[in-house]
Amino acid sequence: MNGKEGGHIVQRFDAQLGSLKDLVLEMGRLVLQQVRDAAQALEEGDTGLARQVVHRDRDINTLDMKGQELCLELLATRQPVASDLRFVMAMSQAVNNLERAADETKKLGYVVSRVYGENDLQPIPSLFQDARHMAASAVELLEDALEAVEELDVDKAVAVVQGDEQLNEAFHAGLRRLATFLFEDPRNVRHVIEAVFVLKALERVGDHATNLAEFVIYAVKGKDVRYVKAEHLSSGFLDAG
Amino acid sequence: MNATMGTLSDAATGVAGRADAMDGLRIRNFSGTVGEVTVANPRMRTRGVDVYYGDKHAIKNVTLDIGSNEVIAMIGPSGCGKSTFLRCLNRMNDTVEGCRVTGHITLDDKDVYDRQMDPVVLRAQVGMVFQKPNPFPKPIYDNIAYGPRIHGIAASRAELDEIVESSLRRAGLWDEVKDRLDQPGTGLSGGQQQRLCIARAIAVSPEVILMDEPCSALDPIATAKIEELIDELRQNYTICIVTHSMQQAARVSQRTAYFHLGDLIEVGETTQIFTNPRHKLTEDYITGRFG
Ligand SMILES: Nc1ncnc2c1ncn2[C@@H]1O[C@H](COP(=O)(O)OP(=O)(O)O)[C@@H](O)[C@H]1O
Ligand SMILES: [Mg+2]
Repeated sequence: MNGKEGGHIVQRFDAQLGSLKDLVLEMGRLVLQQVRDAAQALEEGDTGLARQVVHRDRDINTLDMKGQELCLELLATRQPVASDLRFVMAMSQAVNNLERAADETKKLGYVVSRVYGENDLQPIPSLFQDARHMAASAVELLEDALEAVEELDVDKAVAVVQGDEQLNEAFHAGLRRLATFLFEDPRNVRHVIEAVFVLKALERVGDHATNLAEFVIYAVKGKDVRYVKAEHLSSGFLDAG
Repeated sequence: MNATMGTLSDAATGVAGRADAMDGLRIRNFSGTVGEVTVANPRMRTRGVDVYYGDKHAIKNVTLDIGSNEVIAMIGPSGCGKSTFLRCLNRMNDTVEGCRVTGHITLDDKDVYDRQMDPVVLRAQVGMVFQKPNPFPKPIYDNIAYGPRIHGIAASRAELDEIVESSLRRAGLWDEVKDRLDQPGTGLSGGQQQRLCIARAIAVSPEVILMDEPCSALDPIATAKIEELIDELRQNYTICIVTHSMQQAARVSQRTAYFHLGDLIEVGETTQIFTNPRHKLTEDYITGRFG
């Protein structure tokens, strides 16, 4: 079952679609944990946890390959059409986006290692104050996006797309604060650059969560909304022929 | 077809009136078909067509344009009326005992069921290829030459030779049979026989070619050759194909029509039908959820 009512005559097809979704959700839970751990490592300057995040990226890569194989197998053996085809395409894109979101958390892990590892830098934790809020938002967006995938829930997906706008605003506000900081004391340039990496990575996690949500909308409604402004995503728009 | 004229007015006046019913682009879709039933450049038009076999209502109020140089695929579960609808287009149903067709069908704006219309001429203009290849048990040459002869199309033997060759070439069969035109068509392989039947249809210069599950008896290679041929033929002809293979419909057609229990449920661009059908019955059928 891909979440729609009424199964296929060939039940094995339903089972395959179901495993594909399970894989996406499993991968999603791992990525979510990566974001949480990376944020915590940053918050606490925990280089051990940061190393774990970097290390665990391999598990996600493995799931990425498995997911793409499952999609390929479904396309080759079932020749899905209509909502089934859209579902398989959406899950393939979801897997891809989760893998890339995980790459962003790996980048966060590297920043923590550079800033809090053994080097001559004196950490300035206050530079990461925006990261805390942004990480919380990114986690929430990803959680909601995964729920939207699980239930193929368009309303939740729309909420994620719209919610990402706030994360983007937080990102730009954070950049402005970092710029101010740099003007005040240009000697902090290395710190500021690391902080920019952090904000950028978190902003990207939000983008990937948004992509997940957009592919849920595509799977259910058959509409490509990637280039539609978030405020236009009304149900009227989505249901129009 | 005796009842045609009267019944058309009956069917039309209640809803739109006849002028409206035949006005291509403004046609009202009384039947509730989802999707655009009309096209800008129709070759054939059907309006409010019903078909009965005795009491059995096999086609229900179907309105649909067949566009020039398009391949339109008819899909739907067995018994939904695909073949019945196809046979209306060249009046093959006239020959079926107890079959009654009402409504309006035109070919190039000429009433197909008009008293003046000679069904034999019509069937040359709207040719047909069947599920089981049915060459005559005669030489390959005569299979092709038969139609041009009875329709008096060729003035001389040389002209006839030319028609035979060009028809076989268009059907992609010439190179395979040019050295054995005197041998029976029935001696060819299934795929070759089917292409021979297509060549036979082409020989009388049709405008429309109807194909009823033309590949269901063929292997994948022979099927691919027919599909390639269909794609080439589209340059010169309009093709209306009934197929039970959804993949085939997706591969060969530009528009797809989905029938269900005699109703035309949905029609649309083939890509749209196979990626985002609008009617649940279409969706359930093409995704294999049909119970
Ligand atoms: N000659 C006939 N006499 C009576 N009923 C027929 C005849 N031909 C077809 N039917 C009935 O009409 C319906 C549509 O048949 P058909 O057009 O052959 O369907 P399809 O081609 O979609 O399988 C079916 O219920 C079939 O049993
Ligand atoms: Mg049939």
